[in-house]
Amino acid sequence: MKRFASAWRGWVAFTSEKESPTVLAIFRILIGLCAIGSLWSAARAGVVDAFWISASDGGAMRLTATRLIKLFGGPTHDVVWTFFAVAMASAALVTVGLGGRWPALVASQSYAALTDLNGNTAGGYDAMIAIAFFILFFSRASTAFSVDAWRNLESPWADAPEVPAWPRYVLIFQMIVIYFMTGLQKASPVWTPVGGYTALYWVYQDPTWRRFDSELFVRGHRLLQVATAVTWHWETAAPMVLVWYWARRTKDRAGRIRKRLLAWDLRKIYLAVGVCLHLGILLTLDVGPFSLVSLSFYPLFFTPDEVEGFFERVRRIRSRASAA
Amino acid sequence: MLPLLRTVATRLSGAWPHIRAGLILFHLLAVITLSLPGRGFRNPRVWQTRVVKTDLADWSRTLGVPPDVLAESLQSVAAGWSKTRARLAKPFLRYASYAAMTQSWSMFASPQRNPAELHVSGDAGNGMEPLYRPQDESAQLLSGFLDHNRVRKFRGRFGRRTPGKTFESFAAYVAKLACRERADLVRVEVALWVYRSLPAQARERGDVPEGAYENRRKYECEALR
Repeated sequence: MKRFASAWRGWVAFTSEKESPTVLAIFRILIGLCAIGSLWSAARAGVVDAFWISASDGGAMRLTATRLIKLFGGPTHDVVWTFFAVAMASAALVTVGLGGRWPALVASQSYAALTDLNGNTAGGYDAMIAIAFFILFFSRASTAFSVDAWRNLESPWADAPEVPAWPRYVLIFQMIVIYFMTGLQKASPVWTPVGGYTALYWVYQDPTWRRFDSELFVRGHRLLQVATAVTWHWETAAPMVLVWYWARRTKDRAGRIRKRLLAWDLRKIYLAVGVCLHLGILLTLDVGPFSLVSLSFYPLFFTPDEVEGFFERVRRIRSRASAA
Repeated sequence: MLPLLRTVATRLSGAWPHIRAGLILFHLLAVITLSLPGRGFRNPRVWQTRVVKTDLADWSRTLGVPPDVLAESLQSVAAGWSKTRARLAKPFLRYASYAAMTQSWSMFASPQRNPAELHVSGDAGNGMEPLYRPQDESAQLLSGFLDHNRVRKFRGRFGRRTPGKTFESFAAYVAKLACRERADLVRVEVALWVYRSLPAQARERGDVPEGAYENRRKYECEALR
C-alpha cells in the first residue's frame, strides 16, 4: 500500500510538471500544416466528392455517416463540404495559434468526422492528426509562436508563461505505441528472417504505393532486405526509448544497466534512424503525409530547454559566419 | 453559503492534480488497449483473403505444419484473443469515439504479393485503348484522382480481398469520370489486372509477371453523362 501511495504521488508530480510552451508550439504549427495539406490535397484530387459524399448525392458509394455527420444530416454534398470548411478553418486557426484551445477541439472532431466516413481511404496519419489536435486542446500550445501570443504578450516570439508538460509526454507515448504496434502487427513472414526480410522488395513490386517503377528495386533487393530488417527491428524496439527516458529521469540512482543505457543518447539514435526511414518513404512511396506527420512528432522528444539551446547554437553559428 | 463554496473550491483545487493524473492514466490505458492488434480476427472473411492465405502458406512451409491445421489453430487462438481484447477495450470505446482517437496501427503488415492493378480502357470509335494504367506515362487519364494516396489505399484493397459491391460502385464512378473527361468516348471498361509479383531472382532473369483480368465492367458513356 505504501509503495502504491509513493508511486501514485510520483505519478501526480510527473503529470503536474510544467515547462515552456516552445516545443508544443512548434508541434502545433507542424501538425496544423499537415492537416491543411491533407485536406487541400483531398479536395484538389476530387477525393472529397468521390469518397466522403454518399452515392445518393453524387459520391462513388454508399456511406455510413459518422456520429457528427449524422447529427447534421448525413454525408450529403452540403454537409460534407461544410465540415470540410470547418476542418480547414480550425486547422488554420490552430496553425497560427488564434482562438486559444477551442479550434484544436473543433479541428480534431471535424477532421475525424470527415476521414472516418470512409475507412477504406483513411490512413494512419489521419488518426495521428485527430489525436494530435485532441491533445493540443489540453495543452495551451497557442500561448507561444502564435497570434494569441502577439495579442497577449505584444510579440508572437515573447517568452510565454509555462504550460503543463503532460501533453508532450502523452504525445511521445503515443508515438512510441504507434511504432511498436505497427512492428508487432507485421506478422507476415516476409518481415522476418524466416521470409528473408523481403517485405520491402514486395512493397516495391506493387504499384499501389510506389511513386515510380525502377530496375533499382530489383537490382537493389539486397539493400531492401537490409532496410526491411532495420525497419522491423527499429519499430519493435520503440519501447526502449521509454526505458531510456526512465533511466535519464532516475540517473541519480545506481545501476550498471542504467549507466550503460545513458552512455549514449538512445533517443537521438532512434530518431535519426526514424528520419532516414521516413525520408526514404517520402521519396519512394506515396502514403500521403504520413512521413511528414510522423516527423512533426519528433521535436516533442526533446525538452524546451534542449530545443531552445539548439536554436541558440544555430544563432551563434550564423552570427559567427556573418561576422567572418 | 460562501464559506462552504470556498471550502469546496479549496478541496477541489487540492484534488485537481490527482484527478488530472487519473484522467491521464485513463487516456494512456485507452491508447495501449485500443492499439492492441486483433480487432478483425473474429471475422471469418479475413482468413479467406489472398494476403492471409499467402502468409499462412509461407508460415506452414516454414513450420512444417499443413496449412489447414495451422489456419485452424491460429483461428482458434485469434478468436480467444479477440474476445479478451474486446473485453479489455470495452471501458475505453465510448471515450475513444468522442475523443476521435482511433488506434489502428496496422501499416504494411502484410505486403501485397498478388497486386490488382486498376486498368481503365476506352473506345472512341476505334477500338479499346488504354486510358489509365498505373505508372504508364502513355495512359494517365484521371491520374490526378486515381494516383492520390487515398485512392491508392482504396485500390489496394482489391488485391487483398474479393472486390464485391465496393468495386462495382467504384468502377461505375470511374467510368462516369472518364466519360465526362473525354467527350469522344463511346464506352469505357474498368477492370482489375491481377498477377503474382515475381521474386528478385526471377525478375533479374528477365521474367515478367503473368496476369489476367478479373472483374471486367463495361459502361456505355451515353448513359453515364
